[in-house]
Formats: sequence, structure tokens, C-alpha cells
Amino acid sequence: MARIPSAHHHRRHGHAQREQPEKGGEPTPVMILLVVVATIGVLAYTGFLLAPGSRGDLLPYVMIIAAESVLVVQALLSMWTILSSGRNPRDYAAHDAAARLLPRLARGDDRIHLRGRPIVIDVLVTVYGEELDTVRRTVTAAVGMRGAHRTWVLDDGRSDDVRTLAETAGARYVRRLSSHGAKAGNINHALTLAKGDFFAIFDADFVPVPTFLLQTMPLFVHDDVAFVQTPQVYGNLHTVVARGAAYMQTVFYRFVQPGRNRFNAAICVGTNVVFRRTAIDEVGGMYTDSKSEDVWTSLLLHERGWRSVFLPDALAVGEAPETIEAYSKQQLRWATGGFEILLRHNPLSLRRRLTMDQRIQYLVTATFYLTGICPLLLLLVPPLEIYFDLRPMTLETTVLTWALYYGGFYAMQILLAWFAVGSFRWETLTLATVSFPIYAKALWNVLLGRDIGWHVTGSASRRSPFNFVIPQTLFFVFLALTTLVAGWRDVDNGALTLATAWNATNTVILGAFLVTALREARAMARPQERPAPSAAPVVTAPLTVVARPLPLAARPAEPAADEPALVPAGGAR
Amino acid sequence: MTWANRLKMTAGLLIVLVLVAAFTVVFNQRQQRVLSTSAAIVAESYPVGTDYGGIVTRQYVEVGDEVAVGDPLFDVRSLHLQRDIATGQVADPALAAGVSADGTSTIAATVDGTVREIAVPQGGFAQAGGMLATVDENSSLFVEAEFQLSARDYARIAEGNDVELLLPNQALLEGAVVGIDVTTVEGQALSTVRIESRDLSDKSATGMFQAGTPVQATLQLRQDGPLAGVGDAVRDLLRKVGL
Repeated sequence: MARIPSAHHHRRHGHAQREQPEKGGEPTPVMILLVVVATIGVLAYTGFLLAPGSRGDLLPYVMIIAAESVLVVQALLSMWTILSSGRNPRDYAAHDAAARLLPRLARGDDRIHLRGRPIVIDVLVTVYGEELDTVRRTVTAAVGMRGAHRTWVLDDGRSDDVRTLAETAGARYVRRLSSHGAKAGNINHALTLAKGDFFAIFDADFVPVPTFLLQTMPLFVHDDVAFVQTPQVYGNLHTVVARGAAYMQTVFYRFVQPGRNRFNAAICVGTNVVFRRTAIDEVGGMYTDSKSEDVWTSLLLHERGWRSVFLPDALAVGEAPETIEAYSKQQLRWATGGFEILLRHNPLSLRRRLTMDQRIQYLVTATFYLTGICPLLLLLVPPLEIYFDLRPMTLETTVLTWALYYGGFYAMQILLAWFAVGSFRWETLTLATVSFPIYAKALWNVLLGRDIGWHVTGSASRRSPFNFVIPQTLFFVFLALTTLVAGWRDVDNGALTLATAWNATNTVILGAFLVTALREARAMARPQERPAPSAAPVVTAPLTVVARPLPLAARPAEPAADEPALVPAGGAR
Repeated sequence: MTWANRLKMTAGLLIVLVLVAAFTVVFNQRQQRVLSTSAAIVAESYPVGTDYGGIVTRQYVEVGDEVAVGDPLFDVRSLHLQRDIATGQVADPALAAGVSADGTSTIAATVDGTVREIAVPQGGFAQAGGMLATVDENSSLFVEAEFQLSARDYARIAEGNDVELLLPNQALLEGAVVGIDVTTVEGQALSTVRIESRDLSDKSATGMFQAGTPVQATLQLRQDGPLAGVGDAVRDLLRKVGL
């Protein structure tokens, strides 16, 4: 009898929950209740905002409506997606295939079999200037995965050290002459050499667990599955930025991607993924004309009728961006990719061969980063009231009424996020609020067709973080001065106003972010103080499952004079 | 930071400072102004009355007619007056001039103005000492405006403060405070301010310029606080350079 991978074994006996707390998937009944209540809150808030009776001055009202519409629609769609999750992607056939995966193991042959036939698997590790230790951990783990496979190190950094490292670890080394097409080009180039039936992709900083192949391959027993994606899990939550970036994506990996299985719209996130070679060949290789080659490739595969599967188990541990620079570049890249889909490949267009489910999900992905621009509009509303007496809502609205509707939306979103993730993270709220310059820049770049360079998420440069937070600094100064003026006015009038309170809150949030930047700058001045990445990332309980940004609920609610910003649950890509 | 970014940061900070300064001046200007909660044009009005009760036998004018001093307004025939004449009790030559032997007195306008209201039309009975009509005196228009002010703002109103009056046709008139009445409601001073404007008092009381026309009054408070005068100085400067 073939051996059954232990994880499957546990799951069958219902122990999996305790042992793998970071596993995603099925919303509990309480979670469903919360989603329903939150939905009612969202609808009530929408009704309140749109009611003609509460309309205030035109300019701030339009700003509020624009921002909140994006947030509300994203919140509703992501809650819908969350409710749709819960189907275990491992069906009977997959379990059956898992049981027959290594039929000759007893005879020392660990080739993986599907439907009784041995298959060839290539494991591709993409390297682009990452630190040597990081690369070594990943390559060693990739080579050591169970099940016969070939490991290839695709080095776009052209480092002889990496070549030596690959040889030592027992991996094949590939270096190409040009860097055309960035990561996607690197993979396509390697695919001309590696011609296995399946290939897995790992970024240089994502260390797979030994059973990675044993857990993902059985899902390919269905011929229409093009790729199996597993979550990005971060092991390096040492900085505010890393924690914020990691928790931001938790809901995406725990609930949204599993929900997307139901729509056959789970997307590839570029690493910790296994592709079927014939599927990729059919769409002409990985898509190279975008910074988000992963999402685009998913989209092209879905258009051709292929199926994708998201497996919500943590099977590889990587590194979240630790510095403001790394975070900014990562977000800029992802947001640019999202907006590119919106503007160049509108998923609602009649020319796309997608199901309605897929169209909606890709639209959510493409518009998701607009929620990152909303805080910009909402930050400006209190100053409008302070300086120009322009109010988004009429004065007749009492604070209590406002608080009820507002709380019904934002408090529920935060509660939902808190419940889904297990804790509430101020880092996430802060990052989501202060990142608007990144997303605005991404939108601007896409509108102008401007190209941005490709940066590795993990690559840490020694440049001051203040190079990347100029807009945030200016906004902080503006809001701080405005708060002074507002305070002076309120002292004069003897009454605290909501606008002052919001403005002060926003000032504090931006200030907290700048303090983070200051600390980072100071840490860079003393380079060796940064904790070295923990040696071998071990999958321990408190890992965060994360991936692309998605703010779930945890977003910022900041804003506006009378209104805030929020952020929806759910996420986008 | 790179030098380019330092430059960017510095320029950005300067722009922010200038913006905040400009916005603060705007804000401060607004703080010096109060909008009326309600305001309307009012005229000095003169009641037209009769000493003798009787029937109004003739009405010479309609509401809205312009009248001059001495113009006849009503004929009132009074039995009482007739009896008094008969008994020789009407000795006043002024009164006697306006009455006929049958007890009909002609009531004339005592001011130049416009008939605003007729209380007793032709055929009606006028009570002795009662009012027959009111006449708004010409060139007597002013504005009565109500303002809700904090105690501090109340202290900043004074006679002579400038007031802008916005008429329903969007015309702007200049005015000044000439009198203040105040009652306090829940800690807020409810002030009724009398505003006179040369543009307004010149007009005869017709059309847009008549009692009851609603207007919007913007009261300029006495400058107070650290930015006192800054806004005006800036405005004067802009005016001087021709903007």
C-alpha cells in the first residue's frame, strides 16, 4: 500500500484544525453570521450616505461618495466571496490519487505517479540578486522535497556564487543572456530547457516544506487543472512594515482565494505554485508584458477554459517586505499589474471568454487597488471643512445618527477582520491608510503607459526610507498644521468638532508611519542591528498566511470629516 | 536621502506651508463674518387713522400706490362728527378744513410714501381712533437681521460695523450696524440688528425694495485674535496690485 502523506491522514481524522491553525478555508457559522450582519451594516451605511436628506456641500460629498462607493462595493464583493468558500478542493479523486501517488516507494523509486503513470516534475527557483543565505535555504529545501523532481536555479542576477551554491546543493543552474521579460521571461527561458510534465515555481525567498509536491500533485488528477496555488506565508514578522504587509493579506489567503475556487477564479500569485506544462504551452508561456505576470497568466488560462485550484495549506514560508522601500516597490508592482488588467484587458468586455463568475472576480482584482487611493480623498475632507466650511453631510445629522451608521459599517468590518484573522493589527490599519501615494502613482503610471522597473520584493537596499515617503511626509505636515488651526478654532468656539477629531486621528496615523520610517533609517545607520532572518523558517503556529494585499477589513478607516474611510473586507488579488 | 529627493522634500514643504498660510487667512476671514439667520427689508411705516368712527365712503388709493403729503386717502362719514359740527364743537381749523357739513372728513397722507396696507376698505366701518391703512415712508428703508452669536462674537459687534446685504436678485449692498437688540436663548445671543444702507434708503419703497423682501446679511465682526488685520492687509494688497 502506498504511504499516505501525513497531512492528509490528519485531516481525515479531524485533527488538522489544531495542528495547522493558519490553514484557511471554511468560514465557521459565526463567521457567516458576522458577514451577514456586516453586509446589513454596509447596506444601511450606503442608504444613509445616499439619502438626499443627509447630503451636504457638493465637493466633499462627491469625494466621500466616490471613495466610499469603491470601499463598499469591494467590501460587499469580498464578503460574497468569503461566503462562497468552504468547499474542500480535495475531492474523492484527489484523495484517491494521493493514496496512489508513490506506488513504488517500497522499492526505492519515489517517482510521483498520476493515474498510474510516472510524471516528471521540474522545480524552478527564480533568483534575482537575493542574499546568498536566503537562496541557499530555498534551494536546499527545494532539492530536498519528497517525490522525485529536478530542481533548477534560474539566476537573473548572474552571480557565480549562486552557481556554486546550486552545484553544491544538487540543483541545475540556468543563466540567460538577457533579462527580457523579467521573472516571466526567466521562467519561459528555463522552460525551453526543463521539459517536464509539471513545473513548480518558488521565489528565492520562499522555502517549501518537504511534502509540497505530495500535497499539490494529487489535484492534477483532473485533466482540466492548469495550476495549483498555495498561500504565501511569511516567517519574518520583525518590523512594523512586515507585520502590516503580512496581515494585510491574511484574509486574502485564508478566505478570498479559497472562495475563488468556487468561481474557478483562484489566481496565481507567482510563487508556491505548480503548473501543468501543457496548459502553459497552450497560452504561449508565462505572460511577459506585465509586472503581474502571475495574474495575467491566470487570466489567459481561465479564458482558455482551464481550471485553477487554490490549496489553503501553508506549504512554503517566505519573507514579507521588511522595509518601507521594499514594501513600496512591491505594492507599486502589484497595483500596477491590477490597473493594467482594468485598462488593457477589461474582464467585462464581450471579447473575453470568461464566465460571469470569473468576470466579477477579475474585476474585483483589477479594481482592488482603488481602495488604496480612497484614503487620499477621505484625508482631504476634514481640512475642507476646517478651512472652507464645506461639509459632506448636513448639519442636521446628529453625531449619534452618524455614529450608528458609520459604526455599522466600519466597526463591523474591523470586527470581521479581527475574527477572521484572530487579532486586530494596528500596523495593517496604518499601512493601508498611508499607502495612497503608491497606489495613486501606480494608476498614474498605467494611465500614462509609463513603465516601472522590476524589483525583487525582498531585496533590501541601504537607501533611506525617506526617499519613498515624501508625499506622506508632506501630508503629515499639512494635516498637523491643519489640526493646529482646527484646534485654535475649536478653543475659540468652545466646542470640539468631528472634523478636528478626524483630522487629529489622521495626523497621528501618518505620524506613526513616519516614526516607523525614522526607526528604519536609524536601524540602517547601524546596519548590523537588524535581526538576522531566523535560520530555517519552521512552520510554527503563529505564521501569517498572506499574499497580495488585501486589506481586509483591516483597513483604515480614516477619514473624513464626517466620514471615514474604510476598508473592505476582502481582497483582491 | 538623495539630493534630488531632499530638494523635492524641501520644495514640497514650502508649498505646504504657503498653502496652509493661505487657507488660514481664508479661514480667519470667515471667522470674522457671521451670516444672518434671517433678515428682511423693513420700512418706517406710518399708520393712517381717524379720530371719528364712521363709514368709509370713498377710498382714493390701493395698496402699492405712491402718495405724497396731503394726498387724500379716504373719505369717512361720521354721524358723530356731523353732530359735533352741528353743535359747533369742531373748532380746530385744521380739522375743519378737511370736513364737510355732512360729517364727511377726508383723510390725507402725512408722509411721502407707498400704501402698504389698507385695513378698512371702502364701505367698511372705521372705529374711532382706529387704523385705516399704513403708509411706508419713502427713503426710510433699512434692514432688520437676526444673528445667532456666541457670547464672544456678540462682544465683537459694534455700531458702525460693516454689513454686506445680498438681495434676492444677487445684488450686493453695503450697510452698517446702527442698533442692536439682544435676547439670550440657551447661552446664545439672539441679536436683532438694525442695518442701514445708503443704497437702500435712497430707494422708494417699491419692487425689490419694499418692506418684507428677504435679504441675506453678512456681518463683519471686529477683528480679534492673533491674525487680526492680516486678512484685510492681504486683501488690501491684492486690491492695490490690481487683482
